[in-house]
Amino acid sequence: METKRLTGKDLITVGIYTAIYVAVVFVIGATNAIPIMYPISMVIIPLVAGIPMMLYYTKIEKFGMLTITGIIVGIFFYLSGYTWLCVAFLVPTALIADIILKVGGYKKFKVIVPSYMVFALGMLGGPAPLWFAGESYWDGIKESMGEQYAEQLSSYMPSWMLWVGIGLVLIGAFFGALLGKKMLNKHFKKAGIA
Amino acid sequence: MKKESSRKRRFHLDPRIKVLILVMIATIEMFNLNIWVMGVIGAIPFFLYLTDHRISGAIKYSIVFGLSVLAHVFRTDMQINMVLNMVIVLLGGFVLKLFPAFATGEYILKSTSVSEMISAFSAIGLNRKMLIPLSVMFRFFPTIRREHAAIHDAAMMRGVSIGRKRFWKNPGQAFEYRIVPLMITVANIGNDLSAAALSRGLDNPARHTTYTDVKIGMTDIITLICIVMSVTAVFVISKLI
Repeated sequence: METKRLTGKDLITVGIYTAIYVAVVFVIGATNAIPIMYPISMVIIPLVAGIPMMLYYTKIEKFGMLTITGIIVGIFFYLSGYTWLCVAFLVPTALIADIILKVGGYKKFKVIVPSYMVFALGMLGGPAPLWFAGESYWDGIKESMGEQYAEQLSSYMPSWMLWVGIGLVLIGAFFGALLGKKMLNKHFKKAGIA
Repeated sequence: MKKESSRKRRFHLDPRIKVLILVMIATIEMFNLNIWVMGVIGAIPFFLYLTDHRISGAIKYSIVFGLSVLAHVFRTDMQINMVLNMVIVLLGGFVLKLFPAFATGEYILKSTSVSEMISAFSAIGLNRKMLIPLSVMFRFFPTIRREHAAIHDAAMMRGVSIGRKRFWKNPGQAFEYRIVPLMITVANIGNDLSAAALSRGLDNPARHTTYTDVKIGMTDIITLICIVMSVTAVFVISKLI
């Protein structure tokens, strides 16, 4: 029985892969305690998350699954102490990624790559307050993390870093997609789960 | 069964109230706050732990949080190594900002059954398109951790660990040997889970009945008022001083 609506099975799939995605992002994102890791993690996160996401993309056949993932990841990071900008970033990027997939067609690698690249941009919602929330956020960092951390962080994350950040995430996501594809062919197809 | 156990417990909060508290903590922490307000926010999970009869959890939490408060208060007085000082202040800052929300989240997960959560949130009309993925996700975090630990053990036995020379000869491969088995087991467990859920009528469009009945009672309201009052009071007083 093929329906356009999301079935229970689809929703469970969303839950599983969202859990893996959150786990990957959270574990790698925790290294941001060291300021220099901030720009590095922008490449590493989409690169590593590419593996589970490519597996997830093979299961997506309906509109809405990626959007739900985006909403849940956003809410999760909001509740775990990042700011509302996470939600503001993740939901639109996930929606656009979903639309790309719907227009281009599901399970086509050429469509999956741009879709994943857009989706990965949502992760910039984590460091986004550095650029958008202004002085009060920096004061908050100084207050809670100490002067040294704030100074180091501002030297690694100046305002032009937003554009570099977008570039880094896109590069990371591109190679993440390729890596994920390689893993799919090498392992997951053999194991019969892709 | 669930109904009885939740009635027997002396202090029992509604899941919606628990999540509301978590949202409040996460929202308040976004602002730039002084140490007093942070302290009172940090005290909320401590009391929540106590009400759940998790004494050791409460003690561990209060030690970690208390130490980071001390680190924050004395951060300018510390006459030690620069790097060490920075690490301590950093860790303390992380604990101050993030631990109250983490601890509350952990309390919610430990003290609430999934069915209770689902009936509470479908009662306020949360769409099942959000509800099912959310509950699956929280069901899966412990699974991912357990499977990862098992894979770690297996890898250690074969000598694939960060401490070994062989790991650094080929770190990409070592990483691949961790994440690929993890993905495969998790995907398989997921398939089993959806088969189980479908056979129990997850896709049935009719309204689902539930064993667990949830309603917001006096305890919930009093708890909420206490939290709001104490945070506001501390905030106002700390501004006046």
